[in-house]
Amino acid sequence: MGLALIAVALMIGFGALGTAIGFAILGGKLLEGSARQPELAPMLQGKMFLIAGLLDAVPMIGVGIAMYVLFVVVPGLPA
Amino acid sequence: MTAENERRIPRAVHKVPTPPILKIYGFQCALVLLASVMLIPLDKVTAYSAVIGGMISVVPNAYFARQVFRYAGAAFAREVTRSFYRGESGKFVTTVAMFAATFALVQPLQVFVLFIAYLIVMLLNAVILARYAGLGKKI
Repeated sequence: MGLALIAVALMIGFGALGTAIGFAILGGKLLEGSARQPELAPMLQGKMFLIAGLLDAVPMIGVGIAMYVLFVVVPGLPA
Repeated sequence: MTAENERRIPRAVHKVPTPPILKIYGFQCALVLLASVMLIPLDKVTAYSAVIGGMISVVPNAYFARQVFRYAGAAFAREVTRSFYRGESGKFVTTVAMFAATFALVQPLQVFVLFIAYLIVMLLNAVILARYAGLGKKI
């Protein structure tokens, strides 16, 4: 049971970490791009929205599996 | 300002077109519901598992889209980035909460169908957004 909980923590933690790093880079680049070429800001925002959707797809699946382990697998394990 | 002056002034160069968020996510909701209705004769549990999986994908994405396009334009770059971060953290928390609530409260549940529906709706979302961007319709 302890190992399952560690696995859940790792899945959620690393998922959040990866997403956070990706979004920090993405947000930083948006600010940079908007400062360089303000006329492109709306276009950059749209593209960023698209990339953001792809960026957090895999971590979200990991989170879903973590929740499954936490709420379905772990309660069934012997203590 | 006279009507003539108004005509001379060019339209706002930085007019920001926002994507039809309601249309995109409404379409996804409709598709999920349609798929579940088609699954009802097969198995009730499969049908509602598919609905839940689809909604776990649609609701946080809609919230994120709403947050991202609250502000637009270079003048609001800082606000755009801030609302972007807020939207992402909200999306993460909402997804975790919805998965947790589903696994804790819904019994019986077809987990495989739930995850497949979640994946399909997520891919559908990416395809729709890419299509909007790819066709030159500014999103």
